Amino acid sequence: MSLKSYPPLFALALFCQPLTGEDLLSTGQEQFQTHCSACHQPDQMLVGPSMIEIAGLYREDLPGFLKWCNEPGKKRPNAVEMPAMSHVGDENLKAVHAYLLKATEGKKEKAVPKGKKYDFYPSIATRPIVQRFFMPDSSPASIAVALPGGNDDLNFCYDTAQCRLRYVWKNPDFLVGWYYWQSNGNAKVNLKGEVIYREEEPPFTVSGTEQESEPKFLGYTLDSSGIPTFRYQWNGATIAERIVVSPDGDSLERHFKTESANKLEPAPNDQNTVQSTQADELVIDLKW
Amino acid sequence: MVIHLPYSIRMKTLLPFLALLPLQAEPLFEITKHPNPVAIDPQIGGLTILPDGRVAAAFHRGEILFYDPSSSSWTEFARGLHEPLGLILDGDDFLVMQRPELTRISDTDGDGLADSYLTVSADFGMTGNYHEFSFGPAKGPDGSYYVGLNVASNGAGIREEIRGQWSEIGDLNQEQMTNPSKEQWTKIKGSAGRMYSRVPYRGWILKISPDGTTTPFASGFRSPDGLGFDAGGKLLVTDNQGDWRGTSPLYTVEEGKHYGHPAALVWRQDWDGRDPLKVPVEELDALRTPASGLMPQGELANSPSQPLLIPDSWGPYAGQILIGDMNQKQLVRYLADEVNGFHQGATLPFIANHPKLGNGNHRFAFDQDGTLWVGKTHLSWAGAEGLLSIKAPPADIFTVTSCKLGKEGDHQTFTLTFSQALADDPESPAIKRWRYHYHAKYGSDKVDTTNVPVRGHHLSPDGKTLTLTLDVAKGYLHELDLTGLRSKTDQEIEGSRLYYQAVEVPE
Ligand code: HEC
Repeated sequence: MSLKSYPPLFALALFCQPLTGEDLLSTGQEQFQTHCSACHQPDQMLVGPSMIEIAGLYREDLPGFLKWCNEPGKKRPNAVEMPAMSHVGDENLKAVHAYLLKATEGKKEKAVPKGKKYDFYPSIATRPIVQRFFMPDSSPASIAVALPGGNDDLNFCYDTAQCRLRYVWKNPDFLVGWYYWQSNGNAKVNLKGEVIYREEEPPFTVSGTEQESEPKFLGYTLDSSGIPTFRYQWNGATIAERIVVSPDGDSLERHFKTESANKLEPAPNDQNTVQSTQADELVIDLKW
Repeated sequence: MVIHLPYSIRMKTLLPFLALLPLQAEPLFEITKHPNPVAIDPQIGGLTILPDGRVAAAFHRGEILFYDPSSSSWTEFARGLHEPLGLILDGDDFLVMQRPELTRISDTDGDGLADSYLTVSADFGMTGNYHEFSFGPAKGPDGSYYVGLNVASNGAGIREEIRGQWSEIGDLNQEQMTNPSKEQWTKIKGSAGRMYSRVPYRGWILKISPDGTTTPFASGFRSPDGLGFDAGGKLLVTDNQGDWRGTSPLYTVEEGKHYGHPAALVWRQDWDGRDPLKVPVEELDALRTPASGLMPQGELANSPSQPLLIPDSWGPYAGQILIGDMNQKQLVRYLADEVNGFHQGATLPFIANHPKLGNGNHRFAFDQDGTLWVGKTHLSWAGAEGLLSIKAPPADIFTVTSCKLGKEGDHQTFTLTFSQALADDPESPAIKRWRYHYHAKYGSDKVDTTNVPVRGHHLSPDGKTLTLTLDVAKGYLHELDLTGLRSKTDQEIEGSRLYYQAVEVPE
């Protein structure tokens, strides 16, 4: 609500300039609600520091307060930048200052432990988990997957830009997502676990085609237990890829199926051995 | 937010005002806050209505849940998405815009949980910069989906791996921009452009056909967090105040046109390879199609969100456009006009000064009964969380229903239509005008503010049409202060300031 749309207050402000006492406080409250309360809470950090913290910082420093409001700096590493409040005007900002001191008298800051709100999160608590994130060491369009089986600690990163497995890491708790989730996406998740395998290219090639094309991601489906099958096009073939923990729990079973006439030629290496190869399906066993 | 003052101060502070304020009537709009789902971060990025009246919401951490208003309970449908910022129903499927792609989500085995997440289009680039949000989709009358791509912010650099072709246009190269240290970035970020577009179609609206064919549709956006269609099938897109945005605009978007934020120019097929930041401002100015409506910063909106067509059940508001905003505790309404073939119009505060609305009003959907559902978010900026509903207002609400710019001799006219007859002999509203700079600097002061004298006014015999004669200036935003206008039935006006953007003036 601007002063203009609030004629009685406007009139009052005109009659008794400069504001004193209770008029000053009520103008301050009004102005604070209009221009500041979206980002500043009474007793805990929201977008910006709490009213209590601000009162503590600027109790004896009205000029410093005005300077900050008119030309805010960048102080707190995890906070966004505060927009300049010069349109509010110094008279009103002085009233906000008075109001801040009065309203926070005798109040204490509520302690909010860092990350607490984000530590446990039910949608990534039970395997299998398929969740897109900004991931380390992969493209910005990546999917984190937690697999059931074995010791319930195997997770992998699937890159939808290159349509391939990027790495496997061990962490029974999957990963910590709040680094990414806590604000607006300016951080990646933290794997909090050892990466036990990385891959530079897929363990197969497409034969029977002259066509060369960049891989194109088509999406994924979940089976009744929640395990994903990724689908993509690459070099003329449409491929479905599914990764599960092997029955003995110490390796990953990688299934590649073509939905087109092309055949998939295995390209085995030290870690990837061919388990079976049929006309339309290739199964590779990944050990680390 | 409630500020807890000792009771004595509160009362003493308020007493002088109580004497002066007219008695506050019952709020015209009935607003209900609904419970949040248990253990879900309740920031809502997408909202739509199911045929059975349940409300589907997409959340910050990637879930889609259904809210049943009859039992006030939530059930999960889907999860795993990457910052979904738009959700629509398309036949039996959901379409959701998430950071990396437009995705078609469905439950193929009928167990109530989504099991198919098909990529409709991922044909655009990502640098991993946090500000590269993806907005939409809005479904057009042509059956295509329209989405908006935010440009990156020099609040950060880019990540080691990107998706899409890197543009070499710009003072910094890819290596300099990749994962810089804080100290390093502070030194060079000024050369990145405040908001930048170094991979395809950041700062564009894309058109995506149901088969996935993706066409760059219009360029020049900064933070187009809202796409919608008006009753005539025209695409409306909001944008946020910032660099090249003196104040927040609403655009009527047509294919092939450019809407002012220069970063996106590098992806136009006809672009000559110059760094847009080095092109003279006059040249950039000539390339752009102006905004249809403007929302003054701090007064009407700071970070507008979704535009949505208001249905018939909202009586005098039917056919108009509502717009959300992240910072202000009010919505915005847009009244369309057309002058010399250009779509322009007026913006007004909507549902202002309501104790229960709050800010962070991000996504909207009207249900079958005409109830407006509101999803809130903040993403660590100004805003809020959770779900509200707003009942259709009483049919006899008193407000402006249209504002048309016309011509009378050598002067112009604003013709205001009201939903109720005005009390006899109204005073002419006070009128001011100003404009905003078009420049690389963040935001703009109001420029050349002047009072505009009203030369005369005329009230129609039925009391519902007020014509003001004045001189309207091309390129200026004209503010009409309607405070104090009352209906014959002695109601105060809903929406008391009107801002008309006169891009064109009748010849
Ligand atoms: C859009 C959100 C937003 C709004 C609105 C806002 N602030 Fe802030 N404010 C912030 C943020 C974020 C910070 C922390 C910035 C930092 O530390 O880098 C901050 C910090 C401050 C500080 C602390 C400065 C210091 O030295 O640490 C003061 C004082 C302050 N704000 C006053 C105000 C006042 C007064 C208003 C209203 C007139 C206001 N703010 C409106 C976001 C906001």
